[in-house]
Amino acid sequence: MRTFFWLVVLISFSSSADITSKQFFSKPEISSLALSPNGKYLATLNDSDLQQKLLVTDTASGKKVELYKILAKGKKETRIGAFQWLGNKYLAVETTSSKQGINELIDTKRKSDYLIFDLESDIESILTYKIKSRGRIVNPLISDDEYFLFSKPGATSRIYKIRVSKLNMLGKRLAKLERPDGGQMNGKNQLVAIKGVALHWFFALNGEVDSVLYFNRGGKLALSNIENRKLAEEINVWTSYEPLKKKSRRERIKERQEKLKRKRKGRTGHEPETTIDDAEYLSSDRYKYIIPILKASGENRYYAFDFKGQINNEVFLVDYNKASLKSVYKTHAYKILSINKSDDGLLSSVNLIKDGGVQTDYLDEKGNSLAVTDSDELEVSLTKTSDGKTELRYYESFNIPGHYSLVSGENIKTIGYKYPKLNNLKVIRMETGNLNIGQLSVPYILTFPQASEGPLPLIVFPHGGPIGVFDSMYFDLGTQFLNQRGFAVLRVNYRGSGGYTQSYMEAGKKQWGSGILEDIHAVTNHIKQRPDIDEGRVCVAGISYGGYAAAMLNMKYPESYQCGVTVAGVSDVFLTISSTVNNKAQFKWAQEYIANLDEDLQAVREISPINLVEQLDSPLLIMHGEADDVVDVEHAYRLKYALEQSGKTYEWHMFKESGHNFEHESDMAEMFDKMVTFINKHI
Amino acid sequence: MLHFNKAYAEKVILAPAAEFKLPTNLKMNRYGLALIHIDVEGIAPSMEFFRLGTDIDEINGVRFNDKLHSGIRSKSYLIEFKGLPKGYYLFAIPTGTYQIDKVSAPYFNLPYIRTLEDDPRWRFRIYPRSFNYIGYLNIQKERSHNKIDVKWLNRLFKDLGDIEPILSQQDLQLPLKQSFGLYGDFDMENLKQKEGS
Repeated sequence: MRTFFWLVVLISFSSSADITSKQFFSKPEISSLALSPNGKYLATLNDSDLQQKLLVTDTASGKKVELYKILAKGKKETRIGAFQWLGNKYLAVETTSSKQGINELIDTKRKSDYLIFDLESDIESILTYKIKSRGRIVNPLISDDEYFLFSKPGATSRIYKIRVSKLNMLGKRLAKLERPDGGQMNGKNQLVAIKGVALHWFFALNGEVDSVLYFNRGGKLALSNIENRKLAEEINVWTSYEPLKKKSRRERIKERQEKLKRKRKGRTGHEPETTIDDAEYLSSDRYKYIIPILKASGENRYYAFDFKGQINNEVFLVDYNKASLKSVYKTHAYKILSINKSDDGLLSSVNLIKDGGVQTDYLDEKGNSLAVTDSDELEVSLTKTSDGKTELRYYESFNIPGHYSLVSGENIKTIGYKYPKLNNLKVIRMETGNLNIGQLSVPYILTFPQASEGPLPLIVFPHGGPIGVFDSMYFDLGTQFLNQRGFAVLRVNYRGSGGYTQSYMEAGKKQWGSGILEDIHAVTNHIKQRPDIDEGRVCVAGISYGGYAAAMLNMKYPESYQCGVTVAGVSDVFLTISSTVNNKAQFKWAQEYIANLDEDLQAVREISPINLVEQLDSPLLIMHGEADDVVDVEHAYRLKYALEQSGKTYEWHMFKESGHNFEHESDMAEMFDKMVTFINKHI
Repeated sequence: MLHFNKAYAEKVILAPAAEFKLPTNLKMNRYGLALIHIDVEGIAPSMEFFRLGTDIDEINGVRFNDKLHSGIRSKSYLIEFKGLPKGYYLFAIPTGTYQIDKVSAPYFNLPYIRTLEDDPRWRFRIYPRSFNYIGYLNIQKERSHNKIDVKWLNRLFKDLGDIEPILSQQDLQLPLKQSFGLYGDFDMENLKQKEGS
């Protein structure tokens, strides 16, 4: 039944009609959504360049109500942030807006508010409440339609149980005897009060406040139980996390002297650098970087991540009573994004990045991992109704833009499309494969227009990054656009890409202008041998590192490519590494992953397009956003200058308002249009 | 690292590039002209820097990943940007390699200094008998409680279209040099032609 449903969807997507670039690159119609606990309403947020619109759909009738709309008015506008259901009746929406604040101090000019909409009131004039106190909703109490838990920050952090109908109405002035929030932020409604700044409250399965992660009065990060509405014993205290505080002159002098002492010791070799291996780290200082993120069943038991490593690929179960630490899940995949627990408090699933995509690894009752399917389809369970009978699911594949469905048993009902303007896309065809290059197996994704005749021109479309980024097999706007315009598109997850293994990512170290380009070129040569590809019509186009690769491949292998399109591309690697925009840690990282400026200066020169323009034998299109704060626009000007000095052919287009990601829909559309026009002209 | 008082720093006066007049008694074998592009807002922004080395060999010998010897520093300089409109400015300064130490943007009692200490990317070189492009400095008027937004970028080739007509108005027949940071192969190679002019 389900397969049949997706087939129907696929067929409905396959009627052909050319879709304009503006339609193609318009922002998703649904940027976030939330299903009410009984499944009656679905709230969706539409966030475009022009406006933000919060809609509520009656899932049974399909009737939509526009709950809240904000027109874009530049920097000072109000913005809708997160939203959640407080039971079945009320929807809470967090908004941020500008206020007068203090001249020139940006962070005094924004404030955030909660609005709460009553969906059971008259649909034409929905009752809207506003929370006037500062703080956040920490537990919506979804089984209770009237109440929610609200936390107020401060030197003493408090949680109150608040009744929605007693809050103040939006836009109504308070009468003389009326009190903010109905006077509910008082001792009578106070559930908990702790001395310290709370970061995260944990709740037991029955909804009661169980524990809190907070900065205590001594400035230390601590985890404590809550008993009788107050802090009970401290479960754990982290000495490694302390808030920044102003140091006295004496402390500063002492620190400087110690730093100097350490430097001298380092110079004479008395204090070599030490690394702590995992075993030592676990036994000696086991809780130092392990921070709880989810309450597990049982007393003082938490699921936790290890924040020591940069890449998180393990989940721990920490039992503070037994002082035990157990790894309950480990993946060789790239990274764990989040974890979920079942109603009985057991770890139920892990959302992770694997094989070039986001996958959910489901666990059985004993916590064992079930098989993760390698698929070009992404199907994720987003939420379930409180009775567990209806599920909100998200589905997308390389050929089908994302859409949301309500699934009740065998009954599937589509309730929203991410890109409704792309419902009539021509179906494309995808093939994936791996090419062995040395010790590495390099994955690639090749897509074609379905109804193609004869060999097709090929666009090699390398991703940006390059380290840690990857192309997935799911729906990709840029690739789809190029396929719809009649090109075969090749994407290569070259060495250094994320989404596979740590060692594959590390293989990209100092390979910017060598191994990575060789991977792309070798896969391209492999693909060019296919009868359905026209080997004489191949162009490379890319954004950011992809733009750099486009220029470099045209310079290094001029006989292989007929043109290149570099968008927001790096042209001078020296300029990138030495950029003052990066902080010291990023500067160090760049020297470790790209090149050391003192030791590898000659190599830096040899991998910079500006120094290789003499080798260019094909036309190049340069496009860049003037407001790019990742790859400065100077890169485009340098390349232009070098090309002019060498008398090479190029085309040039600057986007005045665009940053690195071409945030405006119209700029993105224009950029892709120019790319296609240029490629059509030259191949 | 020594921290110096502004009172001991020599104040550098910027002149709009188009109106710059070379001091008559300046020994050009020991001095160069620094060219800076500024886009600076705020109440009283300023920049402080000091000289790391004096002769040309030292200019070429400094490496990115070398640590500075603590406690050793020569004369310090201070540029105050208050009231200066956006544009290109020139000032004469002895040859050598310079380290930008601090950029300040005072705002009541909030922290207002970006300390660069010995960050090797915040350096510039001054060659004798030359126009030395030392970079584009941007300080935003709006800031947060804890942070001032300061950008110091090498935009020589973006700015070249503006710089060339301004410098051609000057009677001085001096070459333009890329002097931002420690070195930049591309800049040096491609500006040779201009240096020869």
